[in-house]
Amino acid sequence: MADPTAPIRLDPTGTSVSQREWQRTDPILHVESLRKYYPVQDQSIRSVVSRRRVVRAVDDVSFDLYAGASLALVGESGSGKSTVGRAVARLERPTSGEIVFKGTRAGSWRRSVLRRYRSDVQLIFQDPYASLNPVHTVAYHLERPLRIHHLVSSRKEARAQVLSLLEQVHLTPADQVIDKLPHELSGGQRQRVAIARTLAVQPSVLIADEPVSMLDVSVRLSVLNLLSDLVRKKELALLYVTHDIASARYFTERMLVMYAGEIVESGPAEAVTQQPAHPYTQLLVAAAPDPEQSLRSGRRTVRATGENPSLINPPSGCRFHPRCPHAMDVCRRERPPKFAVDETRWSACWLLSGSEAKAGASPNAAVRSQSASSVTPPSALATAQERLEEPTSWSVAHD
Amino acid sequence: MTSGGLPAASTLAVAEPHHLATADHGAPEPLLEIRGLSVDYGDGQGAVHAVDRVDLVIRRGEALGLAGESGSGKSTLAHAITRLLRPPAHVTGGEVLFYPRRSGEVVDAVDVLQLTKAQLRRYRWEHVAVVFQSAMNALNPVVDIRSQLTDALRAHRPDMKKADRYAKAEELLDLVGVSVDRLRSYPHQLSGGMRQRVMIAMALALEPDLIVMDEPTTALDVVTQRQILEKIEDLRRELSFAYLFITHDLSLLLDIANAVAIMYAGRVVEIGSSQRLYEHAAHPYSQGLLQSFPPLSGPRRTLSGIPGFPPDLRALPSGCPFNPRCAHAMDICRVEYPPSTLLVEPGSTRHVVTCWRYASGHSEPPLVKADDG
Ligand SMILES: Nc1ncnc2c1ncn2[C@@H]1O[C@H](COP(=O)(O)OP(=O)(O)OP(=O)(O)O)[C@@H](O)[C@H]1O
Ligand SMILES: Nc1ncnc2c1ncn2[C@@H]1O[C@H](COP(=O)(O)OP(=O)(O)O)[C@@H](O)[C@H]1O
Ligand code: SF4
Ligand code: SF4
Ligand SMILES: [Mg+2]
Ligand SMILES: [Mg+2]
Repeated sequence: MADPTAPIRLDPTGTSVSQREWQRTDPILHVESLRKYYPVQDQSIRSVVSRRRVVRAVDDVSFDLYAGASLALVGESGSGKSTVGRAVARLERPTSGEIVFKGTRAGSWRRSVLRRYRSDVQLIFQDPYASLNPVHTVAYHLERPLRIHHLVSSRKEARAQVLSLLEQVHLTPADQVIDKLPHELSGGQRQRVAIARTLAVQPSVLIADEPVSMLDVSVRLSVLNLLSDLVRKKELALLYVTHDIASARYFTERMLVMYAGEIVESGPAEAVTQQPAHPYTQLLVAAAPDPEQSLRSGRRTVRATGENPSLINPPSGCRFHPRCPHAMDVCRRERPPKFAVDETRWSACWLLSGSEAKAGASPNAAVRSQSASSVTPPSALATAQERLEEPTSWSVAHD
Repeated sequence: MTSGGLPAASTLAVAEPHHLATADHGAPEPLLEIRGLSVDYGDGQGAVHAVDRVDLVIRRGEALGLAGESGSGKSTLAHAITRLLRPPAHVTGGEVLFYPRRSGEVVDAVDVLQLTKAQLRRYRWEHVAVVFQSAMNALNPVVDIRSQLTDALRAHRPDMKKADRYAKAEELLDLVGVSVDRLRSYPHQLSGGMRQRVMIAMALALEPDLIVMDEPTTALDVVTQRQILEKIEDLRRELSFAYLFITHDLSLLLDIANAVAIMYAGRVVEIGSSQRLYEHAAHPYSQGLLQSFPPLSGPRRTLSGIPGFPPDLRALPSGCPFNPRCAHAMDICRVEYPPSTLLVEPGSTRHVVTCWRYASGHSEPPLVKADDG
């Protein structure tokens, strides 16, 4: 249970979101043990027997999305963030795992259900230049989904709907924007059209994959503000996929940190960015540009080592171990389970298997090394951990 | 060769390059002085004024950042000072003075824009090197890393023995943190981060005075980016070259550069030390940029951003090009381009802003001006 006295945090739009609130409600979307493996050609000519090899792009990922709340998925490039997004949006079929949407399990879905799901769960892409067809007007892009999903019955109604959508994404005056072609719009305006298009089908979940990374710094903020307004006003659940951990801190309540296809840390965005528990999260936070830190308390050196891991032959045990300054024997042998950092957070790292959780670790402070022998969590933590690992929405899943 | 009216080039020691000491104590030597530089794409009515009367000094040994939105003219400026502009781009005015140093003494400045082909070859490798964003395209896909590293040496150091060139290639690769067993690799066998390091190694081959880096790490993820930036910074301190680092990511620049110049619509609108800009940015556009990126640490503050969109360079508003987006715009801002004002920056005389708010007699200057005290 979350601490009822936990302070209420303010999101950038001024809404108060308490931990308790989002934990009380059932998730809209529950993702359990999602895996996505891609087959690859064996490059070596010498191997006589052609071995089946796979890229483990996503390996055992679980999370929940709640109405009116945003979840960030952060991690370095190649860590599998977009693959999670595509699999959850069902643009690709997951290799295994469960997606439970509003209580319905994905496995039993008929085609009609899948079509409905794909309009309920909408994806916003990174590149606003590629996602709009250059020969069609704004009106065309927004009317199409309305017609396909039979949400309008006349041209007049369609046009009225489109104008309203443009106003919702603050593309005003809407009647001047509606007949423009993509090349007549700036990057930020195009991304707003792309957002308006996803809103056309009245989704309940938005998956935004790097929605602003191709936009100018000066317009990023307004697009992120728009998204977070929509989350609040329309009670949308947002999965914000990004490598920009600072914007994730500002625009989401909770955060998942992904490394080599796995989630290594999960918790409130503020806590994860301010006191990262997992050594990889610590590296990510330390490496991110942060003038506040460097100009006020002196520049820091991160001295990161190592390369991105292979996803074909991922490192044994903890996948971060070849780059981890704290790696112990157990890290090379066994995959770390989720250890509770506190009631709202967990981290998949053997360092937390010992006594007290290192919730106070600063981004640069090394998490104290534990001896490899003390891997059994103390009972209090074990309960917390069981609770965390318990699939919270299994009970609501029914075929 | 222009040298008339140049500020007396000092031969004093270069200021301690650490960021807090971007101080001007002892007036560090200029290395490259851009004066009134203008570059257009095309001619006549349709001409795009990508760089417009830019004044900018890069000092010996410093890490200077150049930030601005997409289309503000950063890359065009980088291409102009390295003489890499291609038609329809052409210089329409100004000069780019380079101050070479021979046996420790600064000799007469040369105007880079007037160099002959032969002089240019030397200038480009031995004095100024370039690292551009797409390392994959810049490296030759069918030539291995060692040959690419030794090519420049072969051309510029014809007396160098083959064995020495190979040894130098190893040294360079090692310097940028790529394992020497990659010497015989081809570009496609390297990761994006490694290719970018190889590009930096190539830039270092002839020990230039200045490295111009245009978005060298934009395509890389934050951890790789940090690794490379730390490497560049170590090398700069060790080899004491200067670099001009161009990116749209102001937070990154404030994090790594000694001083930062802000560009808007082809103009440099403000320059100051990183510290100074972060704490006391004077130009409304710089202030807006600082209000546009969420800080990773420190208290959560409300971000106001910048209203509106970047301007069309073919049809700039009259007066200050930022005026349609500026909350402080006055009548004069819509009529006349603002003058530059030097502001007091403790320990430095470099904080310059181009905005009517700071011009005497137009508005209460929110910051102290240099001549006032
Ligand atoms: N080949 C070209 N022909 C016409 N205009 C051009 C050409 N190249 C660039 N421009 C224009 O020159 C201006 C400045 O371009 P430049 O590429 O220097 O900007 P930038 O600040 O580097 O932008 P970015 O961050 O997108 O790289 C822009 O308005 C751009 O559209
Ligand atoms: N269609 C595909 N075939 C093979 N490998 C893929 C495919 N799509 C993604 N991958 C691999 O999966 C991993 C994760 O990719 P991605 O989800 O794009 O990561 P991110 O978005 O974090 O950059 C990468 O190693 C990538 O090369
Ligand atoms: S489990 Fe071990 S190797 Fe992995 S992050 Fe924790 S300490 Fe490092
Ligand atoms: S000159 Fe005027 S319009 Fe331009 S930035 Fe200054 S106050 Fe704003
Ligand atoms: Mg991606
Ligand atoms: Mg550019």
